[in-house]
Amino acid sequence: MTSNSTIDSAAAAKLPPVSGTPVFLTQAQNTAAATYLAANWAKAIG
Amino acid sequence: MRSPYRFGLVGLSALALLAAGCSSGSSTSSGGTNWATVTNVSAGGGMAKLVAAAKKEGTLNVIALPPTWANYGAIIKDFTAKYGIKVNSANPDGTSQQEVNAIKQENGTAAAPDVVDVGQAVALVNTNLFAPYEVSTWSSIPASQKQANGLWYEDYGGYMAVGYSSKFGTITSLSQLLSPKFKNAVALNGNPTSANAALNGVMMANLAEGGTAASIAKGVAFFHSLKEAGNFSPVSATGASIKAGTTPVVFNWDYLNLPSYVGVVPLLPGRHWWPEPLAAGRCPAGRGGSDDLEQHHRLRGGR
Repeated sequence: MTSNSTIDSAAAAKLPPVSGTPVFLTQAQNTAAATYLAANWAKAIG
Repeated sequence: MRSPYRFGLVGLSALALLAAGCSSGSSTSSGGTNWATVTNVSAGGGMAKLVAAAKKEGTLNVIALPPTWANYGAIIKDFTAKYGIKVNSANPDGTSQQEVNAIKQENGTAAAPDVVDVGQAVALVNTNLFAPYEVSTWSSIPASQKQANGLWYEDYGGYMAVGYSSKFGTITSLSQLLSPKFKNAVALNGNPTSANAALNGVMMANLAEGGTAASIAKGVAFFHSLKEAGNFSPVSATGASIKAGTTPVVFNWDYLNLPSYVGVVPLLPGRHWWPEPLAAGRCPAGRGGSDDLEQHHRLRGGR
């Protein structure tokens, strides 16, 4: 949106700054996370 | 300097279209076009015909779109004002899994969702429920962020942040959240086994704890420690729970921590930040373009 100039600059300016390299989950990583959570989340916080 | 917080977790929602047999609306035939099965606006005869068919049907069923999430409240209002089409907004605080359940349970009824906004993890295991459609900006969406045949695409995302009440002073590391002063204070936006925002909240903790995107185990272990310390709150955070003070620390998308939560700041080293309410404006997730109906009709992603 920034490169296309379609972003709402005023709104975007209110977001907190981000530094470092973004982590972008792949489909496989997303599926792996969901599978692990299904098997382990309930007992972790139970 | 290597800081565990010098990363951003980008999460995306997938827009998924529903297969034939969803809402019982009369979209099946308009000027010879079956909009339930065409796969792009050109194949259906163009934007004007899509608008006409949608007006004839008269209603759009959406689900799990909180008014304060990604500006949905304003988008829905604007959509109705522009096209004269009533929007039925069901279960606004629902999760991705509840959206999928609604597709199955309400199939064929007038209440069935026309479009869903779900997290990628849920989208990927439910593609059999979706109908292929390519929005007019399809070619500008990276291949890794869409299903090749149009079953779903990612339409917006955000960074994860830890929002917290200013009463806690400044938080600079996740380990601080294990201290007694955060008793029953730390919440997620839903259950991570069904809600995308919560899954990504656990993933953020995972990365902060030295885990990798390939395994979320260290994130789950962190929340286990939080639970053992008595600091994990099972309350699913909402704007209301934050205002009421029942969830004073929330792992959430930064744009959701932003609008309504005075005294909430993102967890970034050395930063203090007090938000002001977002002004009404374009949806942060919007891809722009002139065919608003097409895009809004395919509201999607991120629960």
